[in-house]
Amino acid sequence: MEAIFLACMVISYFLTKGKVDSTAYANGKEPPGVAKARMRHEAGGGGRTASGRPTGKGAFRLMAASRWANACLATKQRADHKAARRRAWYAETAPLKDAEWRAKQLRKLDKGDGIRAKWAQEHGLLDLSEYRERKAEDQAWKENERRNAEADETAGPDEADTLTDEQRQLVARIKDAWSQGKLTYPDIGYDQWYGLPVGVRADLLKAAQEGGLEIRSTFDPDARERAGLPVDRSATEGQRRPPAARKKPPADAEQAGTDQARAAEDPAPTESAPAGDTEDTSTGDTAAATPPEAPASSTATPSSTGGTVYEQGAAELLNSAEEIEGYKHALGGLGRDLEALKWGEEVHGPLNDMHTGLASVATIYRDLAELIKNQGDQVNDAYDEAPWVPGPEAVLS
Amino acid sequence: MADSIDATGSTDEIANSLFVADAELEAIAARNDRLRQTFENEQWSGLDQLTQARQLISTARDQLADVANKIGVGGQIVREAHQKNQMVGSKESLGRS
Repeated sequence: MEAIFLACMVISYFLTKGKVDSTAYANGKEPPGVAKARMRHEAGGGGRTASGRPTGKGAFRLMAASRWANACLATKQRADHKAARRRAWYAETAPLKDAEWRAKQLRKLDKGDGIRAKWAQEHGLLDLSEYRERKAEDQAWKENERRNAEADETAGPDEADTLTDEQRQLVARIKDAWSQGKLTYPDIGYDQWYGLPVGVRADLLKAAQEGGLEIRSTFDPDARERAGLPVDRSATEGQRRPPAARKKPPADAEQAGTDQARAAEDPAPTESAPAGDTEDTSTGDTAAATPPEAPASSTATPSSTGGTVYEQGAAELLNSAEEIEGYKHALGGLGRDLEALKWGEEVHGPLNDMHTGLASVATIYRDLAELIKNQGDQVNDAYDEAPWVPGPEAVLS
Repeated sequence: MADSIDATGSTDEIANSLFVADAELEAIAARNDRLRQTFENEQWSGLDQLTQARQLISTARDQLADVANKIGVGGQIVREAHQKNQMVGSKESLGRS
């Protein structure tokens, strides 16, 4: 499981919320989260019980937002008050004492400030914009180091022993799923994949092949080589994406092109900052997948991010469809489990409704992706035959 | 992400995982909008279903947030009540099925 990504997403969600709400409090305004919830509650009828507790539509959201906002404020006030008291005490007592004592107490006060600041930072009560930049920079440096190290890396006999427990579990889970031809939700993350030694990665690729899954031929050439799989080193950038194992399609020559052009979206937009973060690097795949008569003469111009606009759109729709299906499955399962645990209809009902809704979305996405790809390909073929035609406006009345 | 949603955690954990799911769905909705815009800019047509899908995702997100709050906040209310009134036992004995 992408534990790191999960933690980062949760943290960044709550950190951002804390920053905005604390800033609002500092300015004496109602935090936007609470304001929004209150407006929704009022829009939905705005009922309250005799004691003032909100009821009706949007009540829970308002209460949740208020609780969070109150907690932010209470903590901030408590900490600031305590620090102020200590400073006041120091100001009173200092004139009576010698320099050494004063220096020591000042050091304690500053140390306390530092600890509070760190605590506040962890709980999202301070401005973190600088922190974010440093983090991205650190990651970029780590990434460069890793790439350099990999370039020099020689195969070690005890690679499997160097894994942490967490990594071992992850590898076992992925290997288990892939060797049975099952996809994992979510895919193993980029950082996690390249955190594994090349021998272990080769092992996983072999397991995927045994399970009948397909992994892009341009992905992780070193591991592919080690695993004895065909390697395509034509991609110009280091791959920025997780392995994105895909089930093999029904044996169909045209479908092979569709699958090779698919790329998994790396679901960590806030994390991946290292140099050269491109959207999609499947140019090599697309070129290899077009029919033999048009590899060099194909006039389909890839967009700057690689892959044509319509192919990329279709690929993204398919990715979204898969993610949605994952959630549909998970939420439906949760609904059933909660129902079995005797949670009320108000909880498992909506969860089951979501199952239906998300299923519709996934179907829509899949159908549209297919239409876009097929229609786009057909018109592209037509332009291959007659590339001098300027566009639809010239030929449609 | 979807892996992390299971019913065996505490109510706060479940609520958290649902909030994360909501954020993920938001990303998917944003992608939907971006794709629709891109295709519209390039004069593609017949993609009205993208609007429909966007609507369905919005509805799902609302439901998800609703459930997350019910589980998280509701769970907390009941937990605090039980912790303050430790004598109380089963729900049925309070006259509730």
